[in-house]
Amino acid sequence: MSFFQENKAITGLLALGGIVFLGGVGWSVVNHLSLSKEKTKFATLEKSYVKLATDTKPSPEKDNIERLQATLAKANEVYEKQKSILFGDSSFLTEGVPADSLKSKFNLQTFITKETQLFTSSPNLSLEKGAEFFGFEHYIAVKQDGPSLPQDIAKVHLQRQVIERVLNHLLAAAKPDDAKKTVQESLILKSVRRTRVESPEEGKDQGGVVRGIFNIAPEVTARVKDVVDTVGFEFVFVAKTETLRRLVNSIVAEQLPWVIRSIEVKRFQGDPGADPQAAPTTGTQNTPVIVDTYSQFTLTLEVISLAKPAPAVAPEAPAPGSAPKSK
Amino acid sequence: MSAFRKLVINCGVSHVSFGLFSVDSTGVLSLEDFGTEDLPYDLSNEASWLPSTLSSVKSLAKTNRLSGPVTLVSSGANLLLKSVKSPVVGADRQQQTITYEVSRNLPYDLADVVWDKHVVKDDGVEQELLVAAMRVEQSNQLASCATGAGLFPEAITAGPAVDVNAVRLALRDEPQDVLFLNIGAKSTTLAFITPDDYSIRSIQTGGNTVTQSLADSLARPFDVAEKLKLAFLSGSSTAADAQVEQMVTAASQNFIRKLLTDLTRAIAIFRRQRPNSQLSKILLTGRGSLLPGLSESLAEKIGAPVEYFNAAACLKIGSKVNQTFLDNNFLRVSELVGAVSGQLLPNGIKLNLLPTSIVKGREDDRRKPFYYTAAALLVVAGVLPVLKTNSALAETRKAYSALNEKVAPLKANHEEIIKLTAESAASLKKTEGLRDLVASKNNWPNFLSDLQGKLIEVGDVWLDDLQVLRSTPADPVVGTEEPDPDKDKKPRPVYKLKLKGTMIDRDHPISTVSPEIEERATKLLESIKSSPFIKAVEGKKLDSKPGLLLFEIILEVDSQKRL
Repeated sequence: MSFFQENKAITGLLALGGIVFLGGVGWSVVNHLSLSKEKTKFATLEKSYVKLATDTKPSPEKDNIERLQATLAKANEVYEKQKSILFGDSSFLTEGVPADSLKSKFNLQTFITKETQLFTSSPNLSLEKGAEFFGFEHYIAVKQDGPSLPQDIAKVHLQRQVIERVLNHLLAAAKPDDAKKTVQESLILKSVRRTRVESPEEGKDQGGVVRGIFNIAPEVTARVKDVVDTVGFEFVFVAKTETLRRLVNSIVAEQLPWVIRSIEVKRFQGDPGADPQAAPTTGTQNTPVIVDTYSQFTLTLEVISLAKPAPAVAPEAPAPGSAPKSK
Repeated sequence: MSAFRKLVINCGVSHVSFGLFSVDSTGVLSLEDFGTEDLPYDLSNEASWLPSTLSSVKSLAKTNRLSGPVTLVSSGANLLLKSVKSPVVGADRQQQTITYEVSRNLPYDLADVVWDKHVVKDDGVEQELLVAAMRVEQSNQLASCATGAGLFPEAITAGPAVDVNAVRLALRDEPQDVLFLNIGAKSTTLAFITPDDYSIRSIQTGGNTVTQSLADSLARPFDVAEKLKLAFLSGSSTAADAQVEQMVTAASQNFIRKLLTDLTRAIAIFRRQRPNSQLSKILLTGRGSLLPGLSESLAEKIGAPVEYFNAAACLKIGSKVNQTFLDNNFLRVSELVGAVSGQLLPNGIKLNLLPTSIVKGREDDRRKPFYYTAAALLVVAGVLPVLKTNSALAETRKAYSALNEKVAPLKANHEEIIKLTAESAASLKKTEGLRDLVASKNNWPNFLSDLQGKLIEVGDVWLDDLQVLRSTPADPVVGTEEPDPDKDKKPRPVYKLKLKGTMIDRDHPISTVSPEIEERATKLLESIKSSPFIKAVEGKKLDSKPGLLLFEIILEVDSQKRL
């Protein structure tokens, strides 16, 4: 022991050697571990390379990227074109949204008063029971106030704008083309219905009868999941075929994001108005005049918009023992 | 080649000599090389001894190419020899007891001296020890003479003690009791040697006593007197030196008288201790023994024959040794032979007065290479695997980087393709979703226009009923059932149109079915059938009334132009 105490240089060298040895052993172990990791990484990369180079379809080459870019560009171009066809200037539908429920209700009342005045301005125009609230019975006759939530206020506002616009076209279409005719043609508005905005109770009166609300049939609607959202409207009125034609033309002519989804025609069996010439003649007269024939038309229309992407929601884990959902 | 090879250098007061010894295969000690030099210094100036000795050792070593370990022999002038008695105790405490006895008998602190002992006699109760001591400083100085010459001192032994070895080696074939006298420059060694034991005394008088007496008588410096004395003893003095001769003779006689007095006293003590001992002869050595009249005086006074002791006589002389030179200097050989024969004789005297630090340093020096090697091996053992694994790691990383350079663009392309594919799919899905809508947007106006055109073309016909029949599941009851708006993969419905209408026969108001109205009905049907919206006519039903034809047609609508 005294040798090491007296020969500090050797002791130091041995200690240094020991430290270097132990350090080397430790370092080597760490290196071995790193080497093992690196080899695993390399093997994984090699597999990835082989897979990318031989098994991947389409192969990861520039040509395929360019081809896909071209495809995407073409699809986007088509999409933009489609949008320009379907969605014109619809800004008015969303402009002037009432700030609150009260203003919304006020707007609806103003609208109903105005339209009622229009439909009672001529003896040839009439509103049947069921149409007197123009689809907004819920907010006028059932509910004391307007829609509550801001998004519902906006939806009701849009519905009111659309209904008002269609009714304006309808009234215009009911005016005669022929300059010689000065008398307003008969027009009976039988009902206006719209799709529900708020709760399932919307539109139900105290007897549970739903008024002013309708659900557009799935096979009729233009709705496409994740692509197109729609708001549906149904107008039932009695008028001449020519009125329908003019209405349809004016709807089409106005480049709004709406689409006529269905038209049904039924023979009208009554007296639509004051004009005796307008009375249907079928079955009673031998020389019926087609231009004077009245029919009941059911016009279904949808306002379309691009669907907003649904927020990502993590799927809930099925309850233990629960059966899987059938598709 | 002999395994036993020993270099011995005797550092006397007035000379330095060396002998290189070996033992041949028959066990005979052989003198392989020999040399000696007188020390060129003023013998009265003790301070000059060390540098002079160093210089001579260097000179001898260089001239004779001496190297390696060396045993140094110290003259009696630098030593203290004591006979010490120590009780025999247990082996574990013997050394402690001896140390105690030595410390009591030496006039120095043990820390200041290097000492060693040789057991002369042991009767089981008491040990008689020969203790040799040397001041540490002197021992170090002597060792430095060897190291200064590039030699490695492995032992410093006591000249007076090892003379006993030389005598015993010479007399090993005829053991006898002898008196050995080695008369040096400053001291004289008296050794009574028997086959069983020995007794040594050192008298601090020698040849220098004669020189000093001569210098005093001549009133000349010591070195001059020494030269004159040597010239006289060698017989080279001239007649002009008669006065010197007379003075040297007188000084010698004085020296011999004093020596005889001391010798008589010593012999008396020796004989008292060993009453049965019989001195068979007196052996003389040392340059001081050449004083004229000494041997005769000794023989006369002590009554025993006197011989000059030639230790070289019992050696085998190597070819390298100049025999004449050896014969001329045989008086300087006994210490050399004694030092080496201590290791060959049974119970040979092997005193070592080399300082412990040097001995230990030597041991340490022998161990150092091992530890240096061990340290180096540890470093190498630690570093080599690191280097190896580092290299392997670097190679793997390099290979990974190289491969990654190939894979990275492929990966990027692959990810780009996945992204573009997903974007294309999303875009195509949107396009697909809008395609029907775009295609069918104006279907109703166009269909109505087309239908009305056909009705007008035929004339006198109007529709009573137009109904779309869809073959998909029944419509929900309005207001009671929520539709499933998420039904994105609905089957393409089959659309049918049910048309009911009336045709007027103006020309035959009372006829039920006239050929003309039948022709018009057929024409209407064909016209409707040719509509781009109609795929087929599935059924027709005609009824008639006077002047009227009632029809009901079921039409299958082209699925590409849905209504």
